[in-house]
This record gives sequence, C-alpha cells and structure tokens, in this order.
Amino acid sequence: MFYGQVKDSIASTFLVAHYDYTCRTSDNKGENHIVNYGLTLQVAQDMACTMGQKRHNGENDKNEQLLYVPTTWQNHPEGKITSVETIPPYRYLTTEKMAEIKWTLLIERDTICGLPCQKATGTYGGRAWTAWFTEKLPTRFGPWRLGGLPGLIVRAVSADSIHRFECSKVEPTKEAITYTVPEGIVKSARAKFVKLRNRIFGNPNYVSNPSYYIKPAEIESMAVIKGMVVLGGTPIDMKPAKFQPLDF
Amino acid sequence: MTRFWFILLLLVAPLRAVNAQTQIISVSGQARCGTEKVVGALVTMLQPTDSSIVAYATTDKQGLYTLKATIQLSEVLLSISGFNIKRKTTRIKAHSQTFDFHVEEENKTLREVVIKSQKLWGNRDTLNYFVSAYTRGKDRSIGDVLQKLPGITIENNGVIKYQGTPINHFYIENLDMLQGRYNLATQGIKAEDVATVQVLENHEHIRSRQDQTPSERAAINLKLKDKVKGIWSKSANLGAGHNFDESLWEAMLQAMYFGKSKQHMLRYSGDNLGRSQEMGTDHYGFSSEGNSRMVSLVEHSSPPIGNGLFGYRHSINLNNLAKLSDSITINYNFNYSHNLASGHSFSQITYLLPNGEKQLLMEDIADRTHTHSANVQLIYEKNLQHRYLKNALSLWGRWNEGRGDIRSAHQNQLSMLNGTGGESSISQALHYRSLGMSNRTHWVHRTAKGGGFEWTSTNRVSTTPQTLIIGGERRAHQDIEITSISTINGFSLLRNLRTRKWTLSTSGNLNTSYTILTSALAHPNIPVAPHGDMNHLRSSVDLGPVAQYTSGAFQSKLSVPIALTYTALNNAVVEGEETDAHRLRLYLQPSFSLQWKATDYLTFNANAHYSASETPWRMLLTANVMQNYRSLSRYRATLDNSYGAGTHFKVAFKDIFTSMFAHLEGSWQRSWSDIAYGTTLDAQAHTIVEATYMPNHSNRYILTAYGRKDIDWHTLQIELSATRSWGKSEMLRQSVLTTYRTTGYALRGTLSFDIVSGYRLDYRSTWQRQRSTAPQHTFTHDELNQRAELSLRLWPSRLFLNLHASHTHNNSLTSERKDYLFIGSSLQFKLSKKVEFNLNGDNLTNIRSYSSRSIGDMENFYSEYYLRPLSITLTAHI
Repeated sequence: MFYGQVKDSIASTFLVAHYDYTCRTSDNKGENHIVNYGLTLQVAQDMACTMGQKRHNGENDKNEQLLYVPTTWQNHPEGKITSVETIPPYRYLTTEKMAEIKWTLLIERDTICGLPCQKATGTYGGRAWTAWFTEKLPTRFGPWRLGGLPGLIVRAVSADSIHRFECSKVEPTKEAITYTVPEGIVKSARAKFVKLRNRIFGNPNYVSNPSYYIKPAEIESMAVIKGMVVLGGTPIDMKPAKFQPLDF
Repeated sequence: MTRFWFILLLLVAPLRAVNAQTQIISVSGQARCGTEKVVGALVTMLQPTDSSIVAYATTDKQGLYTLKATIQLSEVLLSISGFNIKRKTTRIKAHSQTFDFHVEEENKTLREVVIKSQKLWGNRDTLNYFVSAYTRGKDRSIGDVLQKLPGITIENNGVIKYQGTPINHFYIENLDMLQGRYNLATQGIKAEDVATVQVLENHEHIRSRQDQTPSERAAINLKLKDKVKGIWSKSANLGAGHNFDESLWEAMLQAMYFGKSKQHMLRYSGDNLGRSQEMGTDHYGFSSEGNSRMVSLVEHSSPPIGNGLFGYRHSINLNNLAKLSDSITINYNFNYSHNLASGHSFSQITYLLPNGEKQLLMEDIADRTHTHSANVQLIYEKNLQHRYLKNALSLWGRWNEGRGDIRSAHQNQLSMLNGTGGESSISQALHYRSLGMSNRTHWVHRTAKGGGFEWTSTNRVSTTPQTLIIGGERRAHQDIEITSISTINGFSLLRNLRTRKWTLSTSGNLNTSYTILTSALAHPNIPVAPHGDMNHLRSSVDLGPVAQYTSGAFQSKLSVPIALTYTALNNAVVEGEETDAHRLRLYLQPSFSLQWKATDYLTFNANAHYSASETPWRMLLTANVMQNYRSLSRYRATLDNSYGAGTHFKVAFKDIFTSMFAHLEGSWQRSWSDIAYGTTLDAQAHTIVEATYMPNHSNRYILTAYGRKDIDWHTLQIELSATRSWGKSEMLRQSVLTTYRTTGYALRGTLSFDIVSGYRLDYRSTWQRQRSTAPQHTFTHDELNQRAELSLRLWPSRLFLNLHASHTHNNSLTSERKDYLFIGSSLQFKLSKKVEFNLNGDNLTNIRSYSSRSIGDMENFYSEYYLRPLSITLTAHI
C-alpha cells in the first residue's frame, strides 16, 4: 500500500520507541499461530504517532502491508485520536475523542529495557490491559492507543494474553512527525469503523476466503504482483490468520 | 485507677484516629519556565516513604494542572518532569492548596535524524519552510533567509516574488499589520525569532471569496517562535564610520510586539550610507498617491553597480494592528521619511534621427533634493465566511525641494564632424507638493446558497502644486497646479462555483474623475500658449456578463463588459485652435483567464485581454508645459483611442520533496493607436513632445524559463533563468514615424554551496545582450555582471567573515575602461545572543567613477557615475 504524497509535518519528537507486537491466534487450519511485527512510537511534547516499523524506516514491506498495520496519531487534532486503517479495498480515516483510561496504579515494579517501571491496570476498547510505565521518560503516551500514565508505557499485555506490546529500544531522537492521509480515503466514526472491521474480519468465512465480502463493483483494478494479490491498490492477505481485534 | 486510664484511652483513641483519617486533597497550580508556560509536563504526587505515585496529571495549554488524591499522610512529595525541563521535586503539607512550579529549561542534546523533506513540507496550497534549516550563522534578519528559500526571490527594490509572481499579502502570525510595507518586517524581524515561513499559494484573503476563481498570487505568513510572542522585543543598531570625504553614521531603534490580539512595530531608522531602498514602501501595488508630477529636475542617474547616492535619510514607521475579534481587525499606521539625496554624474545621449543622422547631448549634472513624505492609514476590516467589509482611509503628503546645476553641451551631425558645438550652464530649482486623501471601501456579501455580490468604491481627492525654475544662461519659470477628484466603483454578482460547472453572473463599474489644471509658463522660446487652464471630466459606466466554468481543479472565466464613456475637455482658448472636446463612446473590452492545478506538481495559468483607452488628461493640455529644462510638451485637444491586446501563459512546476521549482512564462502584447506621440529635437538637442495624427502600432514578445534545485550534498542550491524578448515599435521623431526593432537575451545563474561546513560560497552571474535596429542605425549592447560572496565561520556561533566581489564587463564601452571590480567585506562578531558587532568595509578598491553604456528607444546612453569612496563602518546590534 502506498500512502499519497500529501504530507504535513506536525511536530518534532523527543524520543522514538520501538516495540515488538505479538498476537496469539490460530491459522486457517486451526493451529496455534503467532503474528508478530515491529511498531515504532514517535513521541513529541504533546502528541504521539504509532506506525509500522518498516513504514517508519521508509520501506514498502510486503509483510507489513499484508498485516494492515494501522497508523495512529494521539492528541492530533488536539484532544482526539486519529488513525488510518485498512479494510480492503478501502482505507479508513477515523477520529474519536481521546478517552481517559482509568488506570489503577499498583505497587509492583520491574525493569524493562533497562528502565525502572511501575505496574498499572486499566480498560480500553472493551479489553482489560496490564501496562508497565517508566517515570524516567516523562510522557503520557504509549503504543497504539494506550496512554494516560505518568510515564512512557514500555509493556502492555491484554488480560487474555492475546495481545502484547513490548518495548525493545528507546532512542532520544529528534525527527519530524508527519500526518499523512492517503488519497481516496474513507472517513468514518471510530465506533462505526470498529464494528464494521470486527464484523468483516471476524466472520468465519474470512479465514478461508478473505475477499468474500468485496463486491465486484468495488474493484477498480486487480493485479497479482510478485505473488501478492492487489485490489484497487490495496494488497490482500490470501492466507490470513484468525482475526483478534484489539478493541471492540 | 487503671480502669480510668483505660477508659480515657478508649475515648481519646478515636480522636487520634480522626486526626489520622483519610482526607481528600486537591492541589492545583501552574508551571512556568521563566515567563513561558510549561505545556505537556507530568506532575505527580508521591508518598514520601517509597515515592509511589498517588496521583498524577499533565499540564494543559495554560501550564495549569490539578491533582486530587485520597491520603492519610501529613506530607507528600510533588514532582514535575518533562523532556525539556529539569525534574523538580518539592515536599508540601498534605492539604488542598495552590502550588506553582518554577522550573529550569534543560536542553537535552538529541540526535537529530535528517529526513529529506524536513526542511520543506506542504499541502496542496501551503508550503512550510523550517527557518532553522535554511539559516546560516551570519544571517540576521528574516529577509536574509527568505532569499534562500526555494521558489522565493526578492528583487532589488524589495518586492518579494513566489514562482516569479509578486506576493499579494505578507502576514505575521496570520495578521497583516504592515499592509504592503513588508520590508519593515524582512529587515526588522530576526531570523532566529521565526519558526516557519509559510507560502500560501493561490491566496485569497477574503473568506467570502475563497470559492471563487483563485488568485495566481501567493501570500507569505511568518510563524513566530513562542519566545517572542506576547512580549515587547526591542532592538537597536548604532554605527559610525568614515570615508575619505565625511563621517558616516547609522541608527535604528525598533520595538515590536506580537500578541494574540495586538501587533505593533515601531521603528526609527536613519543613516548617511547611501542606502536607496525605502523601508516604508508599499509593495501591494494599490498606490493611493497617484501620479500627478508634470515637472522635474534633470537629475543625476544612479549607477547599476556601486553606490552613487550621497546624502542622508530618516524615517519613522509606526504600524499597529488591533484584533477586536476572530474576524475584526483595525490597522492604524503612520509612516514618515525625510531624505536628502544628492549626486553627480555625466551623461551623453545620442539621439538617432530618421534621416540617418545623430544628435548628441552631453550633461554634467549635480543635484540635491530634499524629500519629506508622510502617510497615515486607518483601516477597519471584518472578514467573515459570508460577509466582508473593509474600509481604508489614507492621507498623504509629499514635499520635494530640489536644486541642481548642469553644464550641457550639444552637437549635431555637422558639428560632430567639425568638432564644434554649443555649451551652456543651467541651474534648476524644483518645488513640489502633493496632499491628498483617499478612502477605499470593499464589501462582499454571500447568501447561504452561495450567491451574493461584491462592491468596491475608491474615492480620492488630491492637490499638487509644482514649480520648476530654470536659471543661468537660459531663464524659464513653470507653475502648475493640479487638483483631482475621482470616484471608482465596481460591482459584481457572485455565484456558487462549487455546485455547478457553468455559472453566469454580471459585473459593472461606475467611474468618474475630474481634473483641474492651471499652468503658467515664462519661457523665451514659447511664442504661443504660455498659460493654460484645463478642466477634464471623464465618466464611464460599464456592465457585462461574466461566464465561469469550474471542473475540479480547472477554472476559467470570460468577461465581456460593454462600457459607455463621456468625456468633456475644456482648455484655455488658443487662437486658431480647437481647445475643447466632448465625446460619448461605446467600448467592448473582453478578457479571459484560466487556471488549472493539474497535479500537486503542475499548475497552468493563461489569460488574454483586449482593451481600449482614451487619451489621458495629461496629453490633452493645449498649453505649453516645460517638463524639465530641455523638454517642452504641447498637445492637441483630440480625444482618441489607444487599443491593446495581449496574452500571457505560465506553466509552474513544484516538487517539494526534491526541492525543485521551475516555471515557463510567455507573453505577447500589441498596442495600436491613430495618434502618435513623439519628440522633435531642436538644434540644442532640446525636445518638444507632441501628438500627431499618425496610425502606429507596436508588438512585444517575452519568454522566460526559470528553474531552481536544492541538493543536500554540500547544501547546494542552483538557480537558472533565461529570458528572450523581441519587440517592434513605431516611434515619432522629427515628425517622421520610424520603425525600430529591439531584441534582448538575458541569462542569470546562481550557485551556492558549502565548500566545507562553515564555509559557503554564493556566486551570481547575469549576462544580457540588447540590440536595437532602426533604418540606418544598429546598436548592440553586451553586459556581464558577476558577484561572488564567500562566508567564513571563523569561530562557531561567534565570528564570521564575509568577503564579496562584484565584477562588471560592458562590451559596448569602446575606448573607455570595460571592466570594474568592486570588493567589500564585513566581519561579524556575536558577543552574545543579543549583542553583535559588524565591521564593514565598502568599495575597498576605492573606485571613484564608473562608466556604462546602454540603449533605449532610438537612443544610446553613455554615463559616468561618481561613486562613494572606500568606507569603513562599525555597527553594534543590540
């Protein structure tokens, strides 16, 4: 997938954190399968952006494209979370008010990535999360849509252990955060998009026939490029794993 | 007894428990770092025993925070941390209170990742330039940096252009305080105080017109850093020096304030360094002063290179803006300048005559002119989505007192062969005054469905008395007084261009101007019409359809107005001549324009027009007027038309990710008329300007190509432009209509790069060739100008050396010196962030005179300029 070249730099970072994201699920044969990819969190004074690590590095990586890794901007516009996500053949732009996650701070401590961290629990998007944060990095942001703790979230695990964000590296780096909106994107309310995404990807037919829901009229073009099926500019994973939604 | 103490303990224990019981406390306050609010910092409330967090919050945009906690402690720790501030922890009593943090800045050195597009990024219509990415150590003002930004050029007269077209607005923090006098900002605002320069392409300032055909012109907006907002910034320059002739001085005092609802720029500047650019010049193009000058001195000319301006100047500029609400602003500006300009030059003009002969006029000119100029502006503007109202009241005054002496000599073809000719000494004195007032109202009203109208009205009154006195071997005296009253009104219906592709609307104009002129001339060579009174009234009304087609990024507009004009002319009676005229005429003046934003990279513009205009009032005066000591004019009361047609196209390319800008531009103009205006030269090479019935026409073509590319390797910038022009005109001289052709080529190139870090070379070169061909005459003029500038960082952030050399080669100079080399240097020492010293050396090769040749319309010019000598000045900037 290629983002349009309409870019707008909106902030400058104080740090860049790299995460390993893992998702425990099953494949199209029903056997245990782990989906794993890298994420990069760019943190500025009053906003943050999470995106696929390959995309951050400027690479058009096939695997990352097939995983439909979302790009999320926290507190942009001010007070809102904006994200660009994919349900082939379309890309969606969603915006919602930044929800204040009610975290409960616990006394348990640990060291992650060489940083002293404190534990907290909270609920977001219908999932319970356990997060570890470090006061050493004074920012309220974390990976994906998680945040609101008095320090960078360096580990976050869903209560059912399906989703895990683990920080692998933090760099004190100054770079530009860009806000990129692909051409032809579809704007949608967050709740409506989440409902649609979970309905489509959660359908039992999705794993065996990932394009079951796409109407022929919606296909502008179709191509097979290096073994990858591309519909209207969006690649389709023809052997997807079972979908595990991050939020409901 | 024991039981007593036990019971007492049971009673007291609950009291103690009450004292130690849980309480809810609220701690709030503000975090500041110096005078700035700290935004986005983390404030935590901690238990003193183990530093565990009991409550936390983030400071908001005002730097405010609020913490609420339920605790059982007598004391807690309050801590604040952020990426750019030092962590601070304080112990406080555990009860509700206000606690403000005063923190210190902590500049952590971050590894900077250079992403190619970081310097410059943009949406379809807005380009953003990171100023810090383009600033070099020696750059002081934002004007120094603007010149380096891709796509932006600053002309010698201070006009800022984007992609070759002058900008239409200059904002500071989205507000237009200076109303066109943006040199005050480009020279007065420090580069380090500006975060971003925004270019707003196709800018339409009026919100209620933003759905209409977009302007070709762009606007610039300076986004300032937070540290200069909401505070008074003061600066001063004081300089002293010497050249071989006189002491030199310069001074500048400036105070600026840029707040959310107010902006002020107050400035005094003065010097005797020969700087010709007037900071207070209005560059928007809407000159309220008009042009009623009919007499002038023959003055020394300014050299194209080197400094030939002597004298001094003072100026006061008080510019203010008050923002009453999101949509309402008031400007109140006062600008005053006082100049003494003097100089000395020698010129030789060769006039080409239709019979193949030449006539020579040589003049040694020395003159000095005092000018006082004052302008007051009061502007009210209300800019809403569906309504726009602006009223601009302007009062101005200009006074010139000039004196000059000329030693002139003349030769005709015969005397050139014999080596004879005539000589004379002339003195000149000029008194000129212009006072006036104008009021311009602009009103736009839109309906919810997108319809509406636009109305503009400009009303102006001015009076201009002027006197030219000639003494010496010839005496003459010319008095003129001009009073002008005019009203110019335009009206057009607006349509919603977004809902339909085709729209049809109407536009109209109603204009009236009334001019009264009295003239009295005492001149030895004028047998008739030395005095004249003229009244000129011109009224016109036009109305016509406007058809517009809009499809996505393509817009085109066709306007076909029909105009009815009435002119009444009355001159003082001249025996045997018609001196009055009246006329009623109908005109058709269509125009067409199109704009297509094909992609984010390519934009096309084109326009065409046909127009007819009547003889202007200054060419209808039947009395003799002495324009200067050697030029007389006298016209006929003949109301006639001049016609013009032209086309213009432009293709502009912009790729911000590769920092490449280019445009190709071409135009064709044709004009024709039945009346020819020309000159007749007498034996002393003095000219008489006359009008004669003689159909004539002229054509002109210009083609320009421009390209600029920035490359990260050694921060290289390269810019090239090429211009080709061709013209064919007919000119009346000695009552003979002569056809002459002109061709011109110009090549310009700029190359800038870092030799190594801290050492930068800027090289600029212009080559031009002009050729003028008339029957029996051909003149060719070649000129090469080069300038090289070497900037050296001798001591990082402290000491900078700048060396510059300008070379000029004029091929047309035959026996005279063809090459000149001017060298200058400046040493800049930054004592601190606020204090800086500059040691400047100008004209280090001490060239006192400079010669050049050039060609005009059937004229050939040779000039010698007397230049300011070597000078050294030391300036302190605070």
